[in-house]
Amino acid sequence: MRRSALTRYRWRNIAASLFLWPLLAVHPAQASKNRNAAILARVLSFELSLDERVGPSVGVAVIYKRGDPASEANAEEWLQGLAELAAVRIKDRPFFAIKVVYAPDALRAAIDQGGIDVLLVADGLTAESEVIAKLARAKHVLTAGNAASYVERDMTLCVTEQGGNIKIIVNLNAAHLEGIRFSSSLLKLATIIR
Amino acid sequence: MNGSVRRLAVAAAVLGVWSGGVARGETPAAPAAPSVQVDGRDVSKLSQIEDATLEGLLGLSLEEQLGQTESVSRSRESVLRAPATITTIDATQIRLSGASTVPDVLRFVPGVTVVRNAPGNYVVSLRGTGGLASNNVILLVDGIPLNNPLDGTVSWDLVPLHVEDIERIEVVRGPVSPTYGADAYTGVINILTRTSIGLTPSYLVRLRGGASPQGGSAGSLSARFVHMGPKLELRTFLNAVHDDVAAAPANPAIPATAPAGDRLAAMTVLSLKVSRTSSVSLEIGGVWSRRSGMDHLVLDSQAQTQRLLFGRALYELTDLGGHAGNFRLWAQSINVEIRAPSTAETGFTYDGAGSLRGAVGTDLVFPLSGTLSLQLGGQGSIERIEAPFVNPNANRALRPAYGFYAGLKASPSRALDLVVTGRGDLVPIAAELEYSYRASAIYHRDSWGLRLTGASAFRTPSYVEATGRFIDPASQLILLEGSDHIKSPRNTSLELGATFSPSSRLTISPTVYVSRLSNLMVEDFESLVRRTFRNSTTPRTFLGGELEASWRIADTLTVLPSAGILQWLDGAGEGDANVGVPSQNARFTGGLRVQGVLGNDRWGYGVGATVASPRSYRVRSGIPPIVIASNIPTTAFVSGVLERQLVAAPSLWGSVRIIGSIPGNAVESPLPLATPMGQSAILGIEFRRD
Repeated sequence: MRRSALTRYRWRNIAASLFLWPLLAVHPAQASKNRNAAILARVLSFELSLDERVGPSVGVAVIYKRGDPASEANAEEWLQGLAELAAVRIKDRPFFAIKVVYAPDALRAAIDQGGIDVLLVADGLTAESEVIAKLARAKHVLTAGNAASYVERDMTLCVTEQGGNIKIIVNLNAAHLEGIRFSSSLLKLATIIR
Repeated sequence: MNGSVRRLAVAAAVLGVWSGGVARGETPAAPAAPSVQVDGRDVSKLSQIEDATLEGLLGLSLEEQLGQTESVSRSRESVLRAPATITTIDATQIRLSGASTVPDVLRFVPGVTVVRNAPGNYVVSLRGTGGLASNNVILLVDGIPLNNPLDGTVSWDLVPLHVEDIERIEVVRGPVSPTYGADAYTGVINILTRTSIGLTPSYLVRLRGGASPQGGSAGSLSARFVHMGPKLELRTFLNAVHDDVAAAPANPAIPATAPAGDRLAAMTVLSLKVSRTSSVSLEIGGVWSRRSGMDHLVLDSQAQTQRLLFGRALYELTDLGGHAGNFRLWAQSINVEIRAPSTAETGFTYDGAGSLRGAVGTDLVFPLSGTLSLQLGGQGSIERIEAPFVNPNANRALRPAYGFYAGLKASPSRALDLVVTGRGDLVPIAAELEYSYRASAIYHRDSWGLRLTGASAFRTPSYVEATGRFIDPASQLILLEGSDHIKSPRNTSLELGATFSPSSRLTISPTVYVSRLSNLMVEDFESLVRRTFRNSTTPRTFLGGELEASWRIADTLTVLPSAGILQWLDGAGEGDANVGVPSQNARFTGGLRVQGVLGNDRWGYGVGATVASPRSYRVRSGIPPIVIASNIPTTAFVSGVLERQLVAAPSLWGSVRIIGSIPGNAVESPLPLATPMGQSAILGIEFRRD
């Protein structure tokens, strides 16, 4: 007897679900971070000042707080998301990301010797954000924060999820102080803080 | 074992291996996160991150990409879900079009016909209303109508700011009287003044100058200042223009030369945020302009000076009754004075004409439930006109006008909007109530939308048509006489529009429509004497199609094609009406722009061309009338721009702009003394902080 179309459809769905199970099991936060990491990389391609301040490669330091598991986990998610893009170039430049524990000397060394051009601040460093921002302004390095609160204070960029939508937030004053200029094509899509 | 069972067995085996691994206490390999996809491509496998659009990465729907507008319903709504066809031209597109006037920018919009009579003197019409009259469309600046209350005409030289100080031009095509009342019967062109998305305050000073191979020169000096504070917003624009390009008629045997188009304009917008949900704003502006007064009544090149003053005070309350509610209370006024001191060569002049309109109104959007919202509004106005060619009984009289509208918007599902709007107007001239309506159904998904709209709208007869009386001072003959029995011309249309986005780089918007123009204005003549105006008894029906697309091939290259076609279903009454005559409308118009920015936005370029198929005119015009018989061949308008940042700090830019026509000396106006479309090369320098 011929099986009905409905029966065939059910079998296929069950089989497909079983095969796809490993993908569905991925932590949603990591999937989100992968997308945010790609957006962060794309935002860098809209930076008009990139050629002036960046060397042959674009380096991102993901900063986290020592002894803060949430901060470290957050940094690890970002690092994994950015590592996914290892083969992708930004304005013809290779791209790399490293994880750095917060310490002013370590950050300074990463910028001066490690070719770091972006400081991406993970959760848990609110109290330290002012120091990070000061260092970034002195070294003309772009600051980005995991949370919107960083950008509302003194950092330049945030890619975050709000109300189910991904938002790019740009603090123009902070950008100006860091010597960063963005294309109007980006600013049109971003939430601007002046 | 059949195929399905076999697949299930394989799946179970795979699952078992992974489960077994966990049970044995081994560290499972972290499951690979799903790759980020944009337009079907895995971002991690791209060679350049620029190959993925930011819109695609952000997962923006087509509705989010197209943005919002207030030009269709006078309330904020998404372009995709607006109940009319709308084209939006943003500041970058304007700057890289190379055009130096708003009409030249509008040439690239499908369904728009532009005719240049002389420097600074243009006629712009929409959808089958091409002709010699320029009172078939409404021009708004930030929502304030700038049509002359006297005859409803749009003087494009009275746009109160430089074309590159415009944030956006929104062209709504089709009947929009349900929103705007009289005269919005073929569409509305809304110019939105520049704001700032960058640093604040931002400012700019721009100097342009150039020459034409046909003789004449063009130049402008303009400036803007924009401050966007948390509570206070101030925007000021200044513009001085001289345009003497191609001021002589194409026929060298005709000695008459049109005067240069010169103007001075200033406007200021001041907005104050009173609280989180309320704001007040004041907008005032003025323009002094001098250009040829040539039109279908004044056939010679006499110089005409116009002075425009306008203003609006607006109080706005948002988040009313939920998040979508909105209340506005406004008062606005416009005053236009015309002087034409040179002696009129052909008997008629606008010299001494003046008009004043003051209006107060309110617009309210109130959400009744999560899926139903009500829109109510109305306005009252008073007009006063004074002109030597108007019947003394009508001159200097104060005439009131009233209009009220109501609309209902229902969203029975997340993908479907049903919008109905109706309006009644008691207009200053016609004694009877004029109605207009619009009904739309909009179905929209993430990457496409479909809209069906039926609407009817009208244009009120002008004071010239209804109350004109021009007596030739020499012969004492009545050369022009209006008729108080004429009815309002009406446009009823049904249109089907779609917008779809196959990828985040490409948006395509086709529209098809059928329109019926009725009660069109006819200018009856007797020998040497213009007798009166009447309504045409034969409606005109035509089919139209419009297509526009935006294809962003790369960050550095965008292609913007557009096209419009017209197919008249009847030509009855050919030639008797002043608009809606098949032969006076190009059957095909098309345009293509290629533009982009390069080198960290330090270079900008744009080239574009529009083409209009032939038109022909066999009309009597002017006072006293002469027969105009003119065939306008296929003409093309071309423009291009190349700009470069010369100095980074302070930001100093240089540019070269080229405007021309094919053929080189093409004249697109049928008026006997009309000048060519003109060719010019303009060099520019500007200092910006933005």
